[in-house]
Formats: sequence, structure tokens, C-alpha cells
Amino acid sequence: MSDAPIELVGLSKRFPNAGMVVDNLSLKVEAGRVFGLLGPNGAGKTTVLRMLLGLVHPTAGEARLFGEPVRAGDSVLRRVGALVERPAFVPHLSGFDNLEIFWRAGGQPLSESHIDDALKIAGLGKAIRRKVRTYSTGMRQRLGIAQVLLGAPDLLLLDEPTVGLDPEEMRETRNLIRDVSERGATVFLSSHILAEVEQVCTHVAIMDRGHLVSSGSVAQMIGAAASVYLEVDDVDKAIKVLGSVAGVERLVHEPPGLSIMLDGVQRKELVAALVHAGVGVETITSRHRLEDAFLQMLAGEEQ
Amino acid sequence: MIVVEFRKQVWRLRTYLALGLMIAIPVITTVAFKLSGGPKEQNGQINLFDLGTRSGLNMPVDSLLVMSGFLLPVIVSLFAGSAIAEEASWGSLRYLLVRPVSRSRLLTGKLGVAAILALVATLLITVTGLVGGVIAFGWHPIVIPSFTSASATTPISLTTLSQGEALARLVASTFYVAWCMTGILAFAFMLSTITDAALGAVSGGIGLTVVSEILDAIPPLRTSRNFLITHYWLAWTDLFRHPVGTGEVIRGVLLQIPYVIAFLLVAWWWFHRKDIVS
Repeated sequence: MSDAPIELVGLSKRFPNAGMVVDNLSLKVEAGRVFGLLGPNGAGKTTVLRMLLGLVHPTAGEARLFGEPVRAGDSVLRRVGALVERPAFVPHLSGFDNLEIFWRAGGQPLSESHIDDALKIAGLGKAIRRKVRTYSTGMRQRLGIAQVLLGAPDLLLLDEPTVGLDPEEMRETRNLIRDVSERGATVFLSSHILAEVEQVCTHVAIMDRGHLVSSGSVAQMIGAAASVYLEVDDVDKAIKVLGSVAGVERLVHEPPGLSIMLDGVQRKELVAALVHAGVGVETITSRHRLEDAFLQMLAGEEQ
Repeated sequence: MIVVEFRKQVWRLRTYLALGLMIAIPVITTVAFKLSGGPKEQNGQINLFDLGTRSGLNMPVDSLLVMSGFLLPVIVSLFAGSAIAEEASWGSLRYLLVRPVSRSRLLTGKLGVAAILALVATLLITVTGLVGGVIAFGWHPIVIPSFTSASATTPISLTTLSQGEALARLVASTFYVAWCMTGILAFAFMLSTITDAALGAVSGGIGLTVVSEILDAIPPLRTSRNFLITHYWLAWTDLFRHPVGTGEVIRGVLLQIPYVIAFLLVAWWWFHRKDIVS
């Protein structure tokens, strides 16, 4: 048994009303990684996070944190900071009081909480003394991130950490995740914002309908998919022409041009087909994006 | 954990409103008795309630009589029924459980706070009634009905009790009333672990009180009524009669025990196997 921050061994969960939500999932996250868990809605990402925290009991298999099987209230949870679904607080207490009682509930003295650092990160100023029921969604999200960082945990489990934040706050959160990772902590995050995952994660796993579709480093994933972006003088005609070219996996009109996912066809063959049909090609750019890899893998899973 | 849970309840308007009611009703009762001269004896019958103006020490007895049948169980259901379910509806329950805190410890802390608040609510009724009663009607020996025997139901005269003796019986009665609330408290708490809707758990506690009291008022049910959770709730009034009756008080104390154990066992079992998805 390893003492990797996260290890899932044949993890499954069946809910009475929803069927098998997570099915035989095995995964290992090594220390110091920023690991992204991707998947469409209903893929089972949040259930995985809940099982990792002992909130949901697995139907089969095991979730381990730092080599220890997770059970509700285990002492290993001292090493974990978690944001599950959305931040939630006691509404009639202030932001500060919420952080304090959250920490004290674990039976640890406030002096071990690094609360000043967390407050700095929350950046709520005087509003930290206001009742949480008066907070905006963004303020709650920032307070939630501050709560996650209490006690400088070795492992962060983050479920959609940038939901509700404005672009500037999203950038700050991404920087924060990088900072936390640089000081040696492991980050495991789920997100539907693929560009965000691509920017902050070193490794990703893709889930669909409870199954693990693929996992590996972000570089490996992106390399597995290829797409091009074309600007042409007649978009409608180009769509018609390219639609009949073998190896064109997916064609999307992204004004002013077209995004094309390739499956075995060469770029020069696309250009030749378009020129032959009398369509002028102005630019062609190769793109390797996590989004393409994600969609390609899910498409493969569908088949 | 208890300190953390207290902090959540103490800084809360709802707690003050609930406990404020426990003060307001005895005050209103005292003022009403003072202004009206108190209730009048019906057809020469004497009952404990009618003796409210004879001494300040009678007022807390009247206050407990007024409050313990419905309003106190409502407040107790409120404290116990919202303990877990309300945290679930806020979403903060999952964050409590991602701390290194066992579910048993969490339940113990929440149950403990609900029980302490229920006791405080009961004590407030007595203390307010006592203070208000002494101010309004003075510190005199208490007047209680006298019967031919402990089991007799028709009073034949009045007897006086010294202030010290009355105070001792009042303390015993207050703790008896508080103890009688434990069954309802455990039931509402159990519901609170099952549902994420605090209103449902609170309503469940109130509903059990109402149903039990309705069934208790149906004579054909005979001795089976003795097992209803509310059946012995007013048995403490036997302490304010001559001669004192303690049989029903003892049965009332014992009756709550199986209810409390059963409801709390279900609460613990359910909460430990529950998936927290709220």
C-alpha cells in the first residue's frame, strides 16, 4: 500500500435512485501534483470527492488518503482542505466566526489554523465581520477558499473552485493553486472549465458516466488529440466540402473561421480538398487543446 | 464540539425569540391574574390553577401548567428538530463532517446543546413565574388542594405549605417537566438526522405531541393510554396536593426512558450509515 495523497481502488457507488454513479474507479495521485478531474455533468466527479472525504460510503472498493482508508471523521482529514460543490456557512454568523468555528470543530487550537493567511487570501476586508447571509456568491466563494486553506493542508480537494468568481478572482484563484502546489501540497480539483484545468493542472483524469475514460499528464492528453483552425473566404462552402472528407471528426463554426478535429487526416489534405472545390484558404493553424482531447475521448467512449 | 454548537445557537435571534416566549407567557399570565383578580372557582370546585393569586409561589405552578402541554414541546421540537437538518439545508453539515470529527461526537454535541436549551426554556418558565408571582402576589405560604387520599380526585379543602417546602416541590416539578420533554426531544432529533428539512423534523415533534395528547383523551383506549409519551406529563401536579402522590411521577420518569433510548438508537444508526449529499 502506498502513501500517495490519493488512491482509489476499484471505487464504486450505487445510489438507490440514481443507479451506479461511480463504477470501479482506480486512480492514484502522487504528491505535489495538481490533478484535474474532468467529466460532463453527472459523470460522478462530486461523488468521488465526497467518498474521498468520508461523506459518502462506497458501495465497493476503497478510497485512501495518504495510504489510510478514509472513514468519516478520521484523523487523516486534518491534512485535507476541501471545497465540495459550493461553499456553505452558518448564515447568521460572520465570515470570521464561520472560519473560527469550522476550525475549532476539529478540536484544534486556533493558533494552528494560519487564519491570518487565510483572511488575507479571502480579501474580504471589513466584510469578514459581517454576517455571511449578506455575502455575494463571489464573497462566499472566496471565504470558502480561505476555509480550505486553514491549517495549511497537505492536500486540497476542490470542486469547481472558480464558480461565481469574476475573471480577476478566477486568475487569483489559479495563481493561488499554483502557489499551494509550489509549497509542496497536492491539489485535486474537478472543473468543467477545461481551459482552467489546462492552465493549472499537471495531470488529469477524464470520467464519463462513472467510468474512468483516461488519465495521464496534461501534455500526454493534449498530444492525443489534434485540431486545426481554418479561415476561408467561403465558410458555408468549406463546411460542405470538409464534411465529406474522411478523417474530419468534428466541424464547428467558430467565427470568423472553422475549428476542425482531426482523426487521421493530414492538414494538407484538407487544404487540397478546399482549393480543389474553389474555396480560398486564408490561414490554417494547428491547435492542441485539452478541450479537443476531452471531446475526442468522450466521443470515443460514446462509440 | 459543544462550545462550537453553543456559539451557533447563542448568536441567533431565533434562540432569543424562543426563550423570550418562555418569559413572556408567564409574565402575561401574572399580569392578567393581577388585573383580573385571578380565575374564579367553578361550582365550588378547587383546582391548582385557581389558586394562582394566593401566593407568588403559586404563579410558577400555573405557568408550568399553561406552558408544559404545548408551547414548551413546540420550543423543544424547534431546538432538537433543527439541530442536524438545518445544517444540512444550509450545506454546512458536509463541512462539519470533513473535519476530523466523528459522527458520534457531532451528534453528541448537537444533542447536548438541544437538551441544555430545552432545560433552560423550562427553567425560564419557573423562574419568570416565580419572580413575577412574588412581585405581584407576595412571598406567602402556598395554598394547595387537600384530598381524602392520594388517589382521590375531588378536593375537600385547602392546605398551606411553607415557602421552603413549596420551593423544593417547585424545583422537583420543574426538573420533572424538563425530563418529560426528553422523549419529544429525542424524537425530533431522530427526525433531524433523517430529513434535510428542518421544518419537517420540528413539525414531527409537534405532531407526536398532538397525536399523543389526542389519543390520551380517548377513554376507550383505557390502560394503553399509560404508554403514550405525554400521558404522565402533568403528573407533577400531584406534588402540589395533600397528601402528595408520587406513583404517577415515578411512572412518568420511567416511561420516557425507553422512548429516549429507541429514538436515539435510530438516530445514531441512521446518521452513521447516511450518505451526506446535501
